[in-house]
Amino acid sequence: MPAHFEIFNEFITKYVDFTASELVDLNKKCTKVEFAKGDIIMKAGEVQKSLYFITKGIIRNYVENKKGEIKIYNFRSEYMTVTGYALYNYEENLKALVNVECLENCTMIEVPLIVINYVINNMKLGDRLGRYMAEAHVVQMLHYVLQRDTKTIIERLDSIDKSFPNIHQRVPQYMIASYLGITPVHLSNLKKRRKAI
Amino acid sequence: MRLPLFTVPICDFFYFIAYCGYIEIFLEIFFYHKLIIMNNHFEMLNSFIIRYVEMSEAELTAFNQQCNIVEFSKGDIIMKAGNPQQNLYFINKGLIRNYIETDNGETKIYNFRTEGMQITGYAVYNYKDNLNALVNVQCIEDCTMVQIPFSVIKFVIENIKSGERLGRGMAEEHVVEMLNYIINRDSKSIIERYDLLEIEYPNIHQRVPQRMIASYLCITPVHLSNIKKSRKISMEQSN
Repeated sequence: MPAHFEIFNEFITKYVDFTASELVDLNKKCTKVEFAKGDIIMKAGEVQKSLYFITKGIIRNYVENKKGEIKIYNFRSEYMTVTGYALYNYEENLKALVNVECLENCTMIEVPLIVINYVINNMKLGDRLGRYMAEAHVVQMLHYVLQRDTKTIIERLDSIDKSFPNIHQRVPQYMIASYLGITPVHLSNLKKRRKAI
Repeated sequence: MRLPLFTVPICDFFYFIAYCGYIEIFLEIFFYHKLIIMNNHFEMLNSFIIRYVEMSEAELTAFNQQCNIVEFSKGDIIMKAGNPQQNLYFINKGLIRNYIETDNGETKIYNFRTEGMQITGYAVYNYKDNLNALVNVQCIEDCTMVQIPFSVIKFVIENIKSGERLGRGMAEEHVVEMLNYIINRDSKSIIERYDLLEIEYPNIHQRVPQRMIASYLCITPVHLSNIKKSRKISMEQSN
């Protein structure tokens, strides 16, 4: 298994050609951090100072409505960023827009937002990296919205299987049900019926 | 009395001078007018841009010159989901809806766009899928727009210093807008979302049929009408 920073650099160079020395420079400014299962890394409404990149583990992004109900909006696992959408939230002082909780013990690269600023202002392709990452976010979110309105629950279940291999072994079923917007009993019935077919 | 012969060319000469003068004035008026029109058409776009980044007058002019002003009629479908796009648009005047069709042929309105906003159909971000639009775009009113070819977007990114940053700022704002849409849909009541729509798009209820607002709110038009009625009653009672 590649070292944690190698995974991080692989993610970056998927988008843009940073030079080796730029990557070293960036890596030096970031830290490897560990979180335990159940840790809440970000709280919606709180100002954030870092974003994270997952090299091991899985988290959930969720919101709580006024009645105290929890709605899981998505998951993030290896090779993905965890932003809580804070770094895009300029109008609101870089507050997280969702809560982030670890569903396993996690290893992450912590990237302080001042380092993001440094990359943008000092590296030739920094803005481009940021643009590509935001653009990928837009497409991903739009697919989420469109799928919710156009696909069946079973189709969405298959699609989450593809995006997160082994998710059913890693995440409790009631959370997957929350993501799909159905009750755990409904999900269990759907899966039974699918198996029968 | 007959005029001497040579006066005719002299008269012609003065006429010619006068004529040139008129042309000059005419040309001046014409171009000045055109300049004003150009400024008006691109002014909204340029103020949209400088909200994100600093661009010099020369850079803005170089950019504007490569864009076209286009007109669309109410009902025109500008983009179709699944079709590759070559342009994005910026609305100077008018209103459009972004919508999708489900497998059962139902139409679902995902959002609206109006003056001062861009229309992408999300194609410009859809690299994996050949820059296909992800939603349909239809004009709900007659529209005037600035058409920006993707080749010009490329030009801006590659030749204007803050071009890349502009793209980043716009994409990031899109992310926040979409997330708020999703969170609001899950956590706000229909009436709260109805009021929010009014804040985001002033006068939308005069501009868009109620059935479309209902589609945006994911309810039936009858349900929307009932909600509005019961709110009116409760407001009257509290007064």
